[in-house]
Amino acid sequence: MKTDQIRDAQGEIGRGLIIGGVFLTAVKMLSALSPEYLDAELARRLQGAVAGMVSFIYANAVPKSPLPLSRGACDPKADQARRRFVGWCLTLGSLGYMMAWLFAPIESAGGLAMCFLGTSLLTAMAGVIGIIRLDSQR
Amino acid sequence: MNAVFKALADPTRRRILQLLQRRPMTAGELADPFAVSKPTMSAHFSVLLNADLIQAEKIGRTITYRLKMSVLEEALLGFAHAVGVNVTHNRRTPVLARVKAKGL
Repeated sequence: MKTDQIRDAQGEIGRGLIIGGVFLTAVKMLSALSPEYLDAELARRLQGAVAGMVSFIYANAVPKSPLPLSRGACDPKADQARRRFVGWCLTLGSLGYMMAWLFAPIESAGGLAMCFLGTSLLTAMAGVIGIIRLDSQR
Repeated sequence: MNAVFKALADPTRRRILQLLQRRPMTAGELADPFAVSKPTMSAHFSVLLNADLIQAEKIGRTITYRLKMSVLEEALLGFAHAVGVNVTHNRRTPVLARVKAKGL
């Protein structure tokens, strides 16, 4: 059981490093290509979209890693509700972030993208606090 | 990904996933609303486990099933439910086909 947990943790760290590496390489490449080979505006948009994609990948996977039931403090119902809520909020926020960078006018793309992600983060935090309060009242 | 589509193509399995969206449940609790035999339910559980959409944890003598779906997989479940995707008899998964052939 412990070996499985160690293997899972190692896999997660490996995946994180790969995603981080791909993200940094993509950003570096886009910077290098701009402005000679790639339009500066397009490079900026793509950098934002790549950042949104990384956030999207992580947010999408949030509900897929529930805590083990054997862990003493784990209330499986609340844990599941929290993870699903946070996962949905952040996934939609990341999607909005990506879309804003790709399609909004470049002057307002960054601000709009941050609005999407910030709102989703605040909603996720408020939701988690709400679920914890509801759970402690029972 | 093919395993996920296969798992979501059956209405019984989709209903199991919808029940698990509310809270984690034991095998008995999940089997109650369905008029199917235990081996058929076990076959459905194994298809869902194989697709990594649910997680089984044994505590004592009880197996508790929990949802293990990513946001996109949940969206796919909602879509499959809304559209009413259904498998035809001859396209059933091998496990279910075996159970049906045995007449269990």
